[in-house]
Amino acid sequence: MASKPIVSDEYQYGFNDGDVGVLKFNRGLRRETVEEISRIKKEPKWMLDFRLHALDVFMKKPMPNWGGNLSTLNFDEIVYYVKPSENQGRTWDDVPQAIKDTFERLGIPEAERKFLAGVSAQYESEVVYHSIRDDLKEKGIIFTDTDSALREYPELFREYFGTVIPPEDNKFAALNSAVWSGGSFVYIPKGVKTDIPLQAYFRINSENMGQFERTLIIAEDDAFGHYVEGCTAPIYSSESLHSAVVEIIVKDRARMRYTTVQNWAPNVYNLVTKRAVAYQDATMEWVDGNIGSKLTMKYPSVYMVGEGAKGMVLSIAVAGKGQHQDTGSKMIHAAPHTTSTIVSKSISQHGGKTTYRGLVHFAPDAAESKANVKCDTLIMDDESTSDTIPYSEVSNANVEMEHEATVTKVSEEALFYLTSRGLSEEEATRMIVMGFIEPFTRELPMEFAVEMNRLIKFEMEGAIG
Amino acid sequence: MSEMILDQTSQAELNSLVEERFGHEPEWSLKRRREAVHALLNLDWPRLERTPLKKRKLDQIALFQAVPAPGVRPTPAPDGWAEIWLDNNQVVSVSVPDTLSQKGVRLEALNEALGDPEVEAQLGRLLGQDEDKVAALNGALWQGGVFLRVPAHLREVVQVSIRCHATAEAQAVFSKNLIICGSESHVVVTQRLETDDGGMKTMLSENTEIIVEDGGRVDFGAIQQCAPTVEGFIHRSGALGHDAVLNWNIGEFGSGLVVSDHVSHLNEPGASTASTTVFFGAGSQHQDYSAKSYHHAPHTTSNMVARGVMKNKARSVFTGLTQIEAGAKGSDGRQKEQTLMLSGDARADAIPSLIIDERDVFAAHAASAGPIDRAAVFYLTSRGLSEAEAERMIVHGFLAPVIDSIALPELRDEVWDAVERKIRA
Repeated sequence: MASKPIVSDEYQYGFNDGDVGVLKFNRGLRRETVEEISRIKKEPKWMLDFRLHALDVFMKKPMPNWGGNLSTLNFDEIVYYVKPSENQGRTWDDVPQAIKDTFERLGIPEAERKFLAGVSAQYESEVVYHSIRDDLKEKGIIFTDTDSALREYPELFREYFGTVIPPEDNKFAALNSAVWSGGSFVYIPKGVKTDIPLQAYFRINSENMGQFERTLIIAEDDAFGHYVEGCTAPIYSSESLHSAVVEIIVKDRARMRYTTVQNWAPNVYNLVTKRAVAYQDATMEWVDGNIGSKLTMKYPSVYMVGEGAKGMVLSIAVAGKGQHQDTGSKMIHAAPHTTSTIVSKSISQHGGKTTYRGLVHFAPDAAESKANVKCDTLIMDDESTSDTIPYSEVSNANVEMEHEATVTKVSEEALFYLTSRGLSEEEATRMIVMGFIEPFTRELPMEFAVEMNRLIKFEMEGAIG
Repeated sequence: MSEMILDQTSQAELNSLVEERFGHEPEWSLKRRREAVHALLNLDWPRLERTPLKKRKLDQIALFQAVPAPGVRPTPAPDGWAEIWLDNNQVVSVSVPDTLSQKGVRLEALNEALGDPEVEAQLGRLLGQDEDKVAALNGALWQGGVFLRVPAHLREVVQVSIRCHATAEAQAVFSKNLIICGSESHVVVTQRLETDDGGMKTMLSENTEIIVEDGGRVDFGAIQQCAPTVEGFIHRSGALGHDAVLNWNIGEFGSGLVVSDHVSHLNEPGASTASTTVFFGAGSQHQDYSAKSYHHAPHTTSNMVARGVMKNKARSVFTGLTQIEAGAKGSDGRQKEQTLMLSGDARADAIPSLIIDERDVFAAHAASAGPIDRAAVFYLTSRGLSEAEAERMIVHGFLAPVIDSIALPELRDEVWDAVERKIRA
């Protein structure tokens, strides 16, 4: 059917800046690699111990035998640490020119001026630029990179770090725990609400680079926050690895929203562990867009441990040529009166593969809880495929679980209807696809929705037959 | 030699048992048994993601006995039906109405049909003997079983009843069934699996292969009401030709542990399958069910429905799989799984998967789990019903759409009776 993609396969951010780093490790992962990262960062002993323990766990754990094809991922080929500049910029002028140019091309400073409360930009292993609006700082909001947080807020940091996702959780969480560098640290004090988002931007530049940022977000009682993240990388012929860990703690009655649009280059393995703990009457929302990468395995989850907690995941996955998006969500109902919603939209085209893999678990204590899961997939052409693998586990009689899924092509009846009203097939298909993903784009901040529409660019002249 | 325990039995002993008991069989069958004995060594118990078998001490169950069959049962088959009885692994009676046998319908003990080249060619094609230890045990030591052959182009519907029973002394029930429905013919099969409760563990391994030739139709209904001492492994698999139809009606009630699956291979264009599974878990039963449809050809359809009720400390896993291969254009695959939870100590998992490698299809699934609607109970009790009676009616209402869709009236009534017993238990 389509000789041109519905969603653009062209990757716009595939340029690289040459080697700009001031310090780049040799390839491969050894005990010394981990010790050296910790030494460069002048970390306290407990963090070094944490890293070394995690390295042991990583070495011991087998590769997952499910999900996507990890056979071409070679841990010995990865560069585990690249320091791009000597110092972190507090003003935009402090950032080295080459890196600044990159972020200018990606539109970061512009976005910041327009609507962001704070912005953080990570290049390779380190955060190169950071700023936060003064009024938010005065309210006690902490928004900094994770390395600075360890130095500047040691007690707060240690209280929460690694509590949501311990290194033992999975092989890639262990890897991240051993070699993590950069990431965002957000602390929103009791009762403080931010109506504008905090944004972080992650960029991989070097070939075979492994980016292992570590994000920790704490929303105290009655707080509200919105954190937005975007990612890109250049296209190389060999693989890069992005393996982040994101831990979020949402305390009583607080609400946290985490929005990601990940647009990695098609040579990036994107193996990410994202998990939130929601306490009494707290709300955690993940808005998760997965557009690029070679293979993404990512299942944002919410552990609802307090009565009345809510979890939501709204996700979209677009798999193009040679790509596999193995995404989904985990909702763990561990307290009474908890509710969760998962809405997943997948599009596979040009031989791409999407997999929805999810879990809804009701523990024996989850009386009067409810879960609703809806997964829809559009397959655009004859080379593309889709799997839907939802797990549900019910250990309480007094819960309600609903799950629905469909896999279809673009409806011929809808196409016929629209073309009979004078639309071309291209326009009609575009309208149908836009309608299909609308529940997702509707939830994005304005500028992100515009960005999204740019990414989901329609090039369909004469494409539909 | 009256009984053999797996973990106390050497391979040499197994080999001599095979020669002694089955030495009279045709060479091809004997060869397969020897291969299965050989394979046993390197095979593990089935590895089920959600049903650990380690603690069930399966290798302490006797795997071969020669328990005498208690003889022919008196109950006559319904009018016009062919019927075969198996007791303790042996066929004890076969009756085929003359009208059917004259037209070439064959219903007989599988052991006696091994000389038939068609049996040699077809047996074991859908269910192999080297997947796991249970498959190999069945391959090496199967005793009883049924061969049903319905010729092509029969005008009347062939109705067949298969009754399998084991007394409390039987500790190993391994059987194989082969059903071949000729082109454009229509056969209705009901299978009843029952055992007496005697306190000793029984391993039951029942393999059924069904071949539906072009334009044929098989309605296969089964009801399993084995004793809680049974550890059951029930595998059923069908292969469908052009425009063939295979309908499954499965009622699962008994056994302490049951691993039961039914699979449809839609091999040719126009093939279709529908399946309904009704299960009711109570006590400390562990039930692991799967229903699978493989769309290998264009314009094939599948529709799988399951409804289960869980009470006490029962545990169930239901895995549905709809797989549509590339090129199976115009196919339609659907699944629906619903569970009613009567107890907070019960646990029900559902994994309804869709694996779709073709664009031009429709595939969907829906799953739900929920409690008894308390408002409905309140309404009914306010009208003078007892709470137990109100719950019973709600369970009936939940299962009715599925049970009432069972095409065979006899089976339908038996499923209702089984539900009633489970509610009151």
